[in-house]
Amino acid sequence: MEIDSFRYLPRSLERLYRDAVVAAVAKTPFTPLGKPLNQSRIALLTTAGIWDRTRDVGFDYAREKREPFWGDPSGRIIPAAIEGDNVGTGHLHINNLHIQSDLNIVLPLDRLRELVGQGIVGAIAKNHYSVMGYQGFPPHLAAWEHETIPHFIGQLRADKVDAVVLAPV
Amino acid sequence: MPVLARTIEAAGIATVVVTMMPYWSSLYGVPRTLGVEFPFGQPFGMPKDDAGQRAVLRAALDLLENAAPGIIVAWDRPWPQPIEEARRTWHPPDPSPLIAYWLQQPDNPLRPR
Repeated sequence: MEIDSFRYLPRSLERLYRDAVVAAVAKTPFTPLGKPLNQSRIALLTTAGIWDRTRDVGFDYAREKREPFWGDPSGRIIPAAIEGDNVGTGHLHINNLHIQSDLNIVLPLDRLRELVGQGIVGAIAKNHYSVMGYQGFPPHLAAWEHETIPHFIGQLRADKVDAVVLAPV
Repeated sequence: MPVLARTIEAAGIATVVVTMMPYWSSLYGVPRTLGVEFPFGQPFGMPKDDAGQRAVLRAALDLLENAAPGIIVAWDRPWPQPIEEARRTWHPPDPSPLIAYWLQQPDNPLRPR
């Protein structure tokens, strides 16, 4: 099976994406998983723009409404033990009702815990990660590269995480 | 998303991306990708479909152990809703600010050509 990346997009948007000029990228980085999965500590990262309402404020969706070509580049840490009722949502490009009914569709903490319980995964990390996937049009990625992601990497190292499962929305 | 995976991977932590747009992985050199032909906003599957979500997560984790650099694997189970329903229900209740802005412009880039 070949995945149609544009199956759920209006044709007008597909055309915009396909016409986008893509800069050549350097070699694909690669870090082998240093140990078996059943001895590895795993963290999750979503671009669903969610946050923990008990410890953080939300992403700046109000500014994006005023400035449609801007997207909030900040990041949020989501504790593994977050309760569903405490998940803040507000992403302006998807239907957040689905996330509100089940966080696992973007950040499958419960599923990861089950795999740990089955002995398939070594451990679930203490902290997980959220950004707002829309970074403007065209995307401005400097703040992610120089601030948000390095901050995440520092926390990943402090938590001794072996691998990250990232899921854009 | 490619920049997120590439930067974390380059820092020495293995990554795998679960995405409905593997198109970008192929263009931007993402280390490991599981492509899912799912509507936007639901990369691990339908709400409350625990078994389906677990299977997608498991398939992604398997790539961490076994995959070669740059691999893109297609998840071969179809989305369980009819296509028209899935296309309708992933959208936000109001158009995003960018779409709303474009729709007001005389040179709206979304106009049919």
